[in-house]
Amino acid sequence: MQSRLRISDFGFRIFLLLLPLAVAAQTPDPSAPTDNTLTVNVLRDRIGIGEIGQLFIKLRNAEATLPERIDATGLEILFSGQQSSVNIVNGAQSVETTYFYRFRGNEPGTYTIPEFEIRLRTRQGESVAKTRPLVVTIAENELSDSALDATKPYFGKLELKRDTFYVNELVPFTLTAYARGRNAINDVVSASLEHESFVIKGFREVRTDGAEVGNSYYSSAVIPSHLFALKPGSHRLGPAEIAVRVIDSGSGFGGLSSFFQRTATREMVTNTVNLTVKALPSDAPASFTGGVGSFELTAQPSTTSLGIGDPLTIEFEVSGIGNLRTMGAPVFTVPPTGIWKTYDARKKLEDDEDSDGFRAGKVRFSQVLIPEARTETIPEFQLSYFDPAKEQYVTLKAGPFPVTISQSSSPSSSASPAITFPAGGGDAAPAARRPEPAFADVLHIRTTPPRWIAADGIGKTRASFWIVQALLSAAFCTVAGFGATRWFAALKRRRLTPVPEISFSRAVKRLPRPGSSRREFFHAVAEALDAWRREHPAPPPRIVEALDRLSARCDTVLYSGQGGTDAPVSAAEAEECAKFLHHLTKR
Amino acid sequence: MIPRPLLVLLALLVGGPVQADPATAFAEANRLFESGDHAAAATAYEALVRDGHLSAGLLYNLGTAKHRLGENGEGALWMRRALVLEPGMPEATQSLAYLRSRFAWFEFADTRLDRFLTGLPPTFGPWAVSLSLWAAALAIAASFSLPRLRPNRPALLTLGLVLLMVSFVASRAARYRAERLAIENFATVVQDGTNALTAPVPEAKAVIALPPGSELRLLQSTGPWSYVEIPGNLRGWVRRETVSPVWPLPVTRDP
Repeated sequence: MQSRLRISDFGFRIFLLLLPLAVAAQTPDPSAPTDNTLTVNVLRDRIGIGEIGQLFIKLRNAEATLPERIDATGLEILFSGQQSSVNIVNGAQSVETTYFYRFRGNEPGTYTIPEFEIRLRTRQGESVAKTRPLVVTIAENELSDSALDATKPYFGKLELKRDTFYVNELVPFTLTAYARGRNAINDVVSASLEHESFVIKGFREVRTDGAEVGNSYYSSAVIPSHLFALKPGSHRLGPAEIAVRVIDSGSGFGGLSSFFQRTATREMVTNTVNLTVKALPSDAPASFTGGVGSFELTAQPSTTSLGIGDPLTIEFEVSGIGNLRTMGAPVFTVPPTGIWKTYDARKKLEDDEDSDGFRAGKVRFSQVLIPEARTETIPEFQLSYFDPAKEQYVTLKAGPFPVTISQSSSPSSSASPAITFPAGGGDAAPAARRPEPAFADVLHIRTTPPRWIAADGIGKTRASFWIVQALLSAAFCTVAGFGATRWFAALKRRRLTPVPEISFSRAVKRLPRPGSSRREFFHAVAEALDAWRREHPAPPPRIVEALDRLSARCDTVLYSGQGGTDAPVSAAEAEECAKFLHHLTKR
Repeated sequence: MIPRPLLVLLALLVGGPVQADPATAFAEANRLFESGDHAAAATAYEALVRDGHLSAGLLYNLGTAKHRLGENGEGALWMRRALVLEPGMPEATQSLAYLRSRFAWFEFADTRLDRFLTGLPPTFGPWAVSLSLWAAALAIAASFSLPRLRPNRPALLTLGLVLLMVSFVASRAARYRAERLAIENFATVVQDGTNALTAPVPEAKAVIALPPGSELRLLQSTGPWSYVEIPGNLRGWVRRETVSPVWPLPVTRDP
C-alpha cells in the first residue's frame, strides 16, 4: 500500500515539472515555419459502374475556395463537403482542411481526373497550387466479385435468370441488398432499376434472409421482380440502386439495446448485367398479337340465339406463363364483310392475376360482335404467340361456334342455359330443352308433279294493265269533257244574252206575290235594292243602314245554305219587304 | 302386233321428232337422280329448263343435282332461282341455310321494308302509280265538272291531293325495288377461287375472296368484267364468267 502511494507521489512530481513546458508549447510562435502542403487522392481507384468513389483534397495551413464541380471526361465529380482539424506537433500548430468530392462513372474504362489550379490563402499571402492528375478505373461489377463485395459492410446485387432471351419475353430477376451482421436490415426504403430498352415491373415484395459471404455473415433483403425487353440487341442493365435502413451496431443503451436500436439509411448500387436480347422470328402469323410465353385459350359466346343487329359478346380467357401485357385479343379469322360487325376487344388484366415469369397468370378479352346477316356459325378466332422454349410460333384456336340468327331482334337465350329447379326443391327433373334443327345436308329433291309456270309471264305487265288504263282514261275524258262542254256552253250563253239593267220602280213592280218561293221573292228584292242603289249614289246614312240590313237578309236566304229556300214566302214577310221598298219609292 | 321400235320409227316419219311430256321427263330425271346418276339427272333437268318448262321443283332439283356434283355455286344459284318462282319454298330455304353454314358465303341482309317490298308482286309499282294517278285526276275533274258534286269540291280536291302523294310514294318505292331489290339485280358466284378486285384488270389487288354461292348485286358490266356490290357495303370487280345472274334464266326455248 505504501509503495503504491510512493509511486503516485513520484508521478505527480514529474507532472508538475512538465506542466510549464506544456504551457509553453501551447503558445503560438510567430516565427515558426509554415508548411503549405496540398495532397490529392482517391479512396479507391477502382470502383464499379454506378458506385460512388471519393476524392479528397487535403490542405495544410491554407484555405482555398474549391469549385462545386470538377470536369472530367466520363466521370461525374461533385463537391460533397469539407472537414478541418488542428494538430500540434512538438509545439508547432498546423491546421489541416480536407475537401471531399464524390465521383461516379457510368461506362467501364480508365479515366483521368485532370490537374487543376487551386488558389491558396495563407498568412503570407495568396498563392496558386496545382493538383496532380489521378487515374481511376470504372469496372463492371460482375457477380463473381462477391469476395470483393464481402470487404464492404453493405452491398447490392442484381441477378437475372437468363442473360439471353427474346423481345417481350418475361424474365424474372432479383435485387438483393446485403448488410453485414445478423438481422442487420430493418427494411428496404427504395429500389430502382431503369433502362430505356426494358419494361421493368415495380418492386413490391421483399423477402429477408441471410447468407455467409467471404467468411462474414450478411443479412439480405431480396426484392423479386420481372422485366421484358422492348428491342433486340446487346444491353447493359444496371446498376440498380437500393436504399435500406440498417441497424446501427454501435447504438443501444447497455442491456436495452434491443429496445433502443438506432437505424441509418444506407444506399448501395448493384452490379451490372450484360444481356443479349434476340428479335422474334419474322415469320409471325397474322394472328400473332404480341404474346410471348406459353398459353392456353378458352372462349365462350354470351348467347347462341339472337336476331340480326343484336350484339353478342365472346369472352376469351388466355392463361399461362408469359408476357400477358403485350398480348392483344384473339383475331377474327373472317375479314370484315357484311356478316359480322366487330368492335375493338376490351382487355382486362388485373395486377394480381398477371404472370411474373414463374407463376401462371390470366388475361380476359371481351369481343363484341353484331350479326348483320343470317349465318349459322361464328367463325373461329385465332391467337398466335411465340413460345421461347420451342423457339417457334404457336397458334391457338377458338370456335367456330354454332349460332342461330333470326331475321329480327329477339330475346336471346343463354349459351349455357341455367338449369332451374321448381320452387320448393324436391326431386323434380329439370325442364327439357327444346331441340333445335341441325342442318347437316341439303334436302332431297322434290318429286311431286311440278306446277309449270310460263317463263315470259314473270314480272311482266299483262294486257289487263293496259285495258284498265284505257278504261280509266276513258272515264277521265268523259268527266273532263262533260265539264268542258258545260263551261263552254255557259260562256257562250253569257256572251249572247247580256243581262239588262232594270229600273227600281220596275223591279218593285216585278216582285213576286206572296206564296211564291222564298228564293224567287228575295232574289227580286235583292235586284230592286241594287237598282235603287244605282239610282241613288249618295243616300243618307240612315237609309243605307236599312238597306244593308235587308240585303243581308236576302243573302242569308239565298246563299247561306240554311235550307227552306223553296218554301213559299209568307204574306207577312212579303208585305214587310214590299212596304220598305214602297217607302224607298216615295223617297 | 307391230313391234315397238317399228312404231317409234313410224311416229318419227309421220309426225317428226317426239316431244316428250315435260312431266314424264321430270319424273325420269328424278329417277336418274335417285339412282345416283346426278350428272345425267342434271342434264335432264337442264334440258327441261332450256325447253322453257319452268317450275320451282324443277329448279330446286337441278340445284340439288349440281350440289351433288360438287358445283356448290351452281347449286346455290338454282335454289335461289327456285325461290323466285316459289317465294319461301321450304326445301330451297332449308337447303340454302345448310349450304350457307357449310361454305360461309356472303349474303345481303334484308330490312323489314326490303322484305315487304320484295314480297309485293313485280307489277305492283306500275299498278299502284297508275291507279292512284287516275283516281286523283278523276277526283279533281269531277269536282269541277259535275254540278252535283260542287258542294263536295273541297273534299274531292283533298282526296285528289292525297292520291297524288300516294302515287309519288308508290313510284319511289317501285324505283327502289327495281334498282335494289328486283331479282334481276342479283347474281351468284358460281366458280371456286373467285376474287373481287379493285379494278377491271387481272393484275389488280384483291378486295376480298368470294366463296362460291356468295350473293352479289350487279351494278355495271364492262366487257368481261362486272362491277358488283358485295355484302358489307363493299365494291369490287369480278370476271363475268365467275358469276351468274339469278334472273332471268339463260336463253330458253318456248315449249
